[in-house]
This record gives sequence, structure tokens and C-alpha cells, in this order.
Amino acid sequence: MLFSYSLLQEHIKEPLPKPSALADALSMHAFEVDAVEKKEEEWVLDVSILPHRSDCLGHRGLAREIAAILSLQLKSLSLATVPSKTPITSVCPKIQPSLVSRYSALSLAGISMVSSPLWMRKRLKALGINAINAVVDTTNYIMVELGQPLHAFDLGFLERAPITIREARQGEEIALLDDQVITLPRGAIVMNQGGKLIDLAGIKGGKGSSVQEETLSIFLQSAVFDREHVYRARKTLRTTTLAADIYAKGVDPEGTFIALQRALFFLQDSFPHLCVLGVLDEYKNDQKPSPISFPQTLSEQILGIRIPSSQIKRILKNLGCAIAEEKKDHLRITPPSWRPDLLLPQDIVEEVGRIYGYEHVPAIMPTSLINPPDEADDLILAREIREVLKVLGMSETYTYSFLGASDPDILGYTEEERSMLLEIEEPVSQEFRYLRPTLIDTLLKAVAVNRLHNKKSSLKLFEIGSSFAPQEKGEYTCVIALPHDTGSESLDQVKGVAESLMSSLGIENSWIEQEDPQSLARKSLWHNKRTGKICAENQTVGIIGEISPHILLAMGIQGRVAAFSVDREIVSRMAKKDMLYSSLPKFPSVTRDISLLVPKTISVRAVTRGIESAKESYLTSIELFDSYEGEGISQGQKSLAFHLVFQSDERTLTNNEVDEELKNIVKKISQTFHWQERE
Amino acid sequence: MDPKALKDKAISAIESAPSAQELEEILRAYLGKKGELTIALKSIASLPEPEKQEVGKALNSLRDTLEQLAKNQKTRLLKEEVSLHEEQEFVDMSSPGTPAVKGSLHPLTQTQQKVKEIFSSMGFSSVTGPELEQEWYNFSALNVPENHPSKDMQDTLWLKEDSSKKLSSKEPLLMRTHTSAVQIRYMEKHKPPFRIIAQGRVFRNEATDARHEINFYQVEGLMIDKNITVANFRAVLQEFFRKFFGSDNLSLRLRPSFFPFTEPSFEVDMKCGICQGKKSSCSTCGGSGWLEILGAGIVHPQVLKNVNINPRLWQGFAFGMSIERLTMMKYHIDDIRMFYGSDIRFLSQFS
Repeated sequence: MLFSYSLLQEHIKEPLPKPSALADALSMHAFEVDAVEKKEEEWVLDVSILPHRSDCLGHRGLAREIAAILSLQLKSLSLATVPSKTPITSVCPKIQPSLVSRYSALSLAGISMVSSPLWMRKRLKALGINAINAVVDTTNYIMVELGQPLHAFDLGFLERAPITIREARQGEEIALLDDQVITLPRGAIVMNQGGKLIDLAGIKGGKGSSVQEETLSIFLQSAVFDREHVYRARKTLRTTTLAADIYAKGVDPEGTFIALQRALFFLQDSFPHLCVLGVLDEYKNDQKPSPISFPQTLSEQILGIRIPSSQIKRILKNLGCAIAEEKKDHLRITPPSWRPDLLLPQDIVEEVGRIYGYEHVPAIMPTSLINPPDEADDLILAREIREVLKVLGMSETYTYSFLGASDPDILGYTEEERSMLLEIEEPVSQEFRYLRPTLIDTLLKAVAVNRLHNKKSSLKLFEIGSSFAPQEKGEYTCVIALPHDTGSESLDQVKGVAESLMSSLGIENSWIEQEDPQSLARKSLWHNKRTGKICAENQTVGIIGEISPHILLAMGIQGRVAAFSVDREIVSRMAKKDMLYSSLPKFPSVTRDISLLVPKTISVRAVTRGIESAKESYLTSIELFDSYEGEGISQGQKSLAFHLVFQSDERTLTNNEVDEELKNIVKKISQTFHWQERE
Repeated sequence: MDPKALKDKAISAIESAPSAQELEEILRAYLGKKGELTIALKSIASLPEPEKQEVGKALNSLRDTLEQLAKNQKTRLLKEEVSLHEEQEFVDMSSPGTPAVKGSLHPLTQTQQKVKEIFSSMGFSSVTGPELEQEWYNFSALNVPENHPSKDMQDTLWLKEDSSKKLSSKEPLLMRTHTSAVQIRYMEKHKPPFRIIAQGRVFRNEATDARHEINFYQVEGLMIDKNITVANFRAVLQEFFRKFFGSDNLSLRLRPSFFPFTEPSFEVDMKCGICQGKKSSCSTCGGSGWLEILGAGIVHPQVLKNVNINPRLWQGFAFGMSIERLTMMKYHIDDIRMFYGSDIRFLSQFS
């Protein structure tokens, strides 16, 4: 909110420090000052009033705060007096007390729509408010000066029929001062006259009821509308005014009548024949602040510094609190009406601490015992995974947690896949409309973005993060995108990374099994023939495969992209916390190579398991080193070549022993599976 | 065959062998299966007795001699060959090596790691919580009032009603706006005293620019014990910054602020490390000499009550700090959007 330096000065007896020094004092003891600028020959301070301090949403309030900080004196306010015999106003709105805690008003005659004095216009302009006429300008001026919104109605208009102030019903319409007609939410506070809504109370004036060019008498309203009602209506309507902002934060009911007297003081200046026709002041008066019992030692207990009792009392007194000695070292503190935020002794500590100055608080290390710190298992695991992937040449990235409105189309989402997406209510941009159901989606966007800079960049990215499909789930995800890959290089590399990762985490005997993408949640993401599940201990740990060529086409990504994603929960359950040393073999091993002719459709894993099932005493390891199909191999067949390693714990094996076992294995798989050894 | 003549011939042949390979051949011509010496040795059997012994002795001795000689000769020849070869193996040492596969860790990861290590050294455990949150953990338990502008201090990303229903939640769910939600989750399950930090992704429904992102990372700190004061908070924070920026010459200041979950509340500024507050045109601090770096305070008694901790017995501080902010200061990065752009030219700088 903008504050005029000269207007602040008008409220304080002693000269203020220079604007920049004043800004520093405010920043250190009360509110951050965002800017100090000279506008219209006025120094203007842009101050971020904290949301619980509505008492400072006017110059008088901020001046009071400055006086407390700098130990200065507040000037008394020049007010006009309302003659004691003034009758009650001709307009007496019927008010629901829950909506209005105080309703003060004056009926005034002898006005016209002349300009306000030059000094007032200039000051309003410096504070960003357009001058309109003497009446409206005065209401605005009082609002920025005292923080009490006023509204000037055309008295004649209001006198036409009785008025009620009530909650709007859902869908009621009102025509506003600025000619727009809006539909109201339930609970907005409105003024009703003969079945027609004539004012959106606390937010914006109604068309017709507000002062007009030809208005000669006014009904000047100074009310306190219920904070929550205004807050909700303003939020739903997504329209706001300075008055609505002030009401939404709360207004001191003690100030309504003073605001009218202050307005009268200025209006008398503009209108020598001004006449007060009537007065109204309905006050519920049920919001008296309760006294707080404050043990003086509490400020030391919380701040860690001793502030002398005399200082504490002086600070609180300057802030407007009434202080009484309660019992030994206890003060009974009654906050002023404008500080309903002061409720607890802790609130008092804050007041004392900030005015005294936090710069006096020294740094003292806690002396309490330290329990040895822990780290969540997930964090430890993530750290290990990051290190492994980094060593494997992968670059870590962080992508947004969101998909844009058009991403599901580009990423090939089917209707069914769309139905699992979680959607954000009113995102600030359509780029952030959905929560990502898998990190692979956003990593593909990362690939596409990089290809804009460099068409030929080979990318090896990984990300650790949460996805929402729709449950929140932790994922460890890798993507490899090779622009010149026309075969299966990307896929082979990604498989290698996945396998290395699994074994680094101590998840032994993991394997990859062919999978039909149609059975996956994010089915359209994957290549129909190049998708698999990463399995271990008879559970699916993750998905691995090539990205669907349709998606690459839609995203304009050249070459091939392969990816895998494993589930945090499952990996964390399986990962071995401790590795055990297995002793090195005492005797040399013997390796024999074998090539088998098998049907093209059979998986390497099936063949490996077949060989395993045929082993006798000494076969300890089976490793594929070549896969071939084409010339020299009959249609529908492929040749798989394996290294078979034989080993004994007890002695060096003889060639005869190894040859014997190999012969038996070949014979057995030939009988069982009809796989022949390739000559 | 005269052993003497054979000896002379063989020695001369071995000594004049021009290369190790030819030496092998020469040796084979004498000592191989069909070599002269081998044949001569075989022929001994047919000789008469006294001669047999004498020639046999001579030939066996010759074999030993030749083998020894050949071994020496071979070593000499190989050394010569290696020397010769070495001279022909010039490589331009200024030409680049084969690139090693090199991955990288995201700068935000590196910062979080460092933050964890420093706080761990002061006894803080690292804990986590979900990104998709319930209103209770993100707002209500933290004493954030309903229908008050202080709830609008953080623009919240709420899920649509039917999206929340997909997760069988009756109340609307939201993307956590701060890691303070983790405080509540932790305190519900643990008894004080404790020192924890929680790092993770948080969300704000704000337009993105060089300083604002829709998602960013925070570190939340919480220390609850008996008699924990603002002075203790200042010491812990000072120690953190001293270690994080590796500088003993750090100055912090506390300014009043407002958070519903702390009382009193502060903003903490750090003296600008770039200009030391001496340059009015400094782009890092905007000339103010100070950088706003975190929000903090003494945990509000109502927050402790909400998790069944007695505020008369326990007290402590909490703070929240942007990981991006720390990282930007540390690496002099001037646009927060770099962190989420996945630009490999950016990422690979952090290998």
C-alpha cells in the first residue's frame, strides 16, 4: 500500500527522519518497504502491510506505528463536531447485526459536485487515486488517512423506500457504479430497496444509489461490515477495491464515527453552507479485546535476551496497550481496539521484540543434547541411485510436475488414459493443467526441447520425483534418446543402465519380460513390440521399453527414444541394505561357448532358463554374447550364442568333466525344447 | 658330426641373428625336433662306448651353452627392437582424449545434499512427506485461519473436485504450498525433543518469471526442545550459512514478518556477498545490500497444541528457505527457470 510521507508527517509532532531512513526503520521494526519514490512532488513509500495488521492500512495507523518505533508523539486529529441535538437520519437501514458490527452515518445537505481542494487532489494522485469531486475525494481521502472506508449515497435516492442490509441470495444481480451488472454469490452483503439491490456493501457502490452529478444532499456511511463475508464475496467475485481489501482484513469499529467527523471537517472547508440533517450510530460493541496476562520473563524465554521491564512497558504503552501490574513480574495487558491480533502472551513478545529490535538478539548455540540424526530410507536410496546413474553417464534433470492442456494430445493419450489424469482447479497457466502421471511424459518434453537447440544431441537424462496416476508415487526414471538410432541402440543402452542399477542396489536376479503395452496404465506411451517389465522376486519393479514411434512423430523427435521407470516403494523394499562378501573361487573356471538354433519368437530369458534347467554339477553362469538371424539361418529361427562357465569349489575341473556336462546339457535341451546346437 | 664344428657354426649363427624372430628359427634349426643338435644327440646311441660318453657329454654341454646364449641374445634383441619401436610411436599429446562417459547431478540436488550434510552435523534428521496434501497438514494444523487474507499469502493449486474424488478424498486436495506440512506429519508421530529438516518440492499458483516458478524446492527446519530461543535460531542459521557459503564473514539480520504458524515471525536477510552492501547498482541485491533468504519464527503454541505437544513444556523454532535461492546465490544463476528447462547445456555444467 502507498503512503505519503508528508501525510505521515502531519500526524506526528516531531520531524520524521528522511524518507529512506524512515523506510529502513519500518523495515526493521514493522513492515517491509518495497520502494521509496517521489511522485507529484510527494515522497511516496510502498509498504507491504502484513495481513494481520489491518490497523496500518491507513496513514494514521502507520503513523502510530512509526511513533512507537521512533518514540515520537502522535498529533491529535482535527475533527468537526456533530451538534448534539442532531436528529436521527431520515434513512435508517434495517441491519442484520451479524453482518454489520457498527453502522454510523450522517445525512448532509448543502453540497454539490465541485472539485476538491488542489492539495487533496494532488495527494490522492500521488497515492494512485483519481480525483472525482469534493465528496468522493473526501471519502477516499478519509479511507487512506484513517483506514475506514466511507461511502456517499444520494440521500434523495435512499429516502424513496425503506432499506435493508442483508446477505445476497445465490444468483441475485446488481448494477454497479461502473455500469457493469454482476451476479452475486450467496452471502455477499447487499443493500436492498424495494426488492432491488442498490449497493454491494464494502466492495463497490451501486448504480443510482451513489452520488450523482445533480446530488445536493448525501447519506455518508461509515460502517464495519463483517470481515469474513466481504472476504468470501470478494474472493468469489474476483473483484476488489481498496475498501474491500481493508474490510477483508478487518476494521476497528471504534473508528467509524471519528472518520465521519474527520470527513465533516474537510467537507465544511469545501462547502460553507454544509448542514448536518441527521445522524446514525448503531454499535453492537461486542468485540472488546480481552486482557492478556503477560509474565515478563517470557520475552527472555523466547527471544533469548533480557529486556528491561521499563522498556517493555514503554513499548507496549506506545503501541496503545493499557498496562496494569497483575502479580509479581506479571503484567495485565489490554490491547487497543485496533489490535485484535494481540491474543496471546507470545503476541506480546513479538511486539516487544520487534520494537526493541531483533538486532539486539545474539547468536547462542543451543546447549541441549543431540540425538544422532537419521536420514529417511527413501533419501538414502535416492542418493545411491543418483550416484549410480551419474557414473553410468546419465544427467539428472528436474522437470515440471505438470502437463499442459495440449500435452495429452501430443503424448497420444487415449480417452481411458485421460480419465486417470488429476486436474488443477484454475491453474495460472494452461501449461500446468494436469499432474503428470509418469515422469517419462515430462522427460520426453525435455528431449524435444533439447532437440530445438541441437538436432543431433544424444540425451541421457534421469529424474527422481513424484508422479500422480492418480495416486502419488515415487519414480526413478531414465530416458536415452539417440538421434541416429535406426536399430535398437537406445533400447539396449537403457536396458544396460536398468540392469546395472538393479545390481548396484543389490537386487540380484532381476530380469526383463516382454509386455503388451495394452495391459499398462500408460499404454499409448510404449512401442507395441519393444516394451517389457523389469521383474525381481516375482514382482514387477518397473516398466522399460522404447517410446511409441507415433509419439516421437507427433513430438518431432528424430531417431529412437527408450526409457525405464521403476517404482520407489518396491525398489526400496528390495534394495539390500548390506552387501555380503562371497569368497573368490579357489580353482580356475572353464568356459565353453555354445550356439543354439531356436525359434525366433522365443525370448533369451526362456532359453537361458532352459539351459539352466538342464545343468548338472558344475555350470555356474550363462551369458549371452551373440544373437543372429538372417543368412545361413533358416526362416523363423535365430541363433543365440552363450558363454557357459563351469566351476567347482573342490578342484580344478578336467576337460573331460566339462565336455561331459556340456554334452548332457545339449542333449537334454534338444530333447526337451528341440533346440539344436548350431554347427 | 664333429661337436666342435657344430658348436662354432651354431654360436656364430646365434650371435649374428638380426632379430628375435629369426633367432627363434635359428634355434629351431639346432634344437628343434629335427634340429642338427637334436639329431646329433639321437645319433649318439649308435656310437661305440667310450666315444659315446665323450660325444654325449660334449653335445649336452653344447645344448646348455646354446640355450643360455640364445636367451641372452634374445633379451638383447628384444630390448633393441622395443627401443626402435618406441622411437616410431610419436603421439601428439595436445590432441584430445577419448571422451569418458560423464553424467551429472542437478544443482538443486547438490544444494539439497549439502544442506542435509550441514544440518546433520548439527543433529538434524532428514525426513520427507507427500507433495499432494490435505488441507489439514498444509493449512489448518498450521493455524492458518479460514477465510482470511493470510491464507492467500500462498497461491494454492487445488485439485478439481472430481480429481480429489478419484483419490477417494471427500475434501479437496492441494499441492503443498510449503514443506511446513511435513512438520505436522512428523510431530503427529514423534515426541519432542527433535531437530528435523524436510526438503522437497512445493507449489504456488503464480505466473512464472525469472524469480518465480510454479514448483520449487524448500528446506523446512524444525527444532523443538526445552528453552529454545530466537538467539539459538540465529546461531544455528549463522552456522548453516557459514558452512554453506564457506565464509566466516557472514552477517544476518532478522526483520519482523507474519506467518500464522510462528509467533514471533521473521524474515531473515543475508548481507549481499557480491557487493557487501557497498554498491548501489548491485544486480544481486538491488542495491539494498541485503538478500531476503528465509522466513522463520518461534513455533506458535496453537500449532504445538494441534499435534498434542504441550507448549508450556516445549518450545522451538521453524524456518523455511528456498533451495533455488540458495543455489542461485551459490552458482550465480540469474533465472530460476533454468532449473526446470532440462537444457543439457545447463545440466552438464554440474558434472
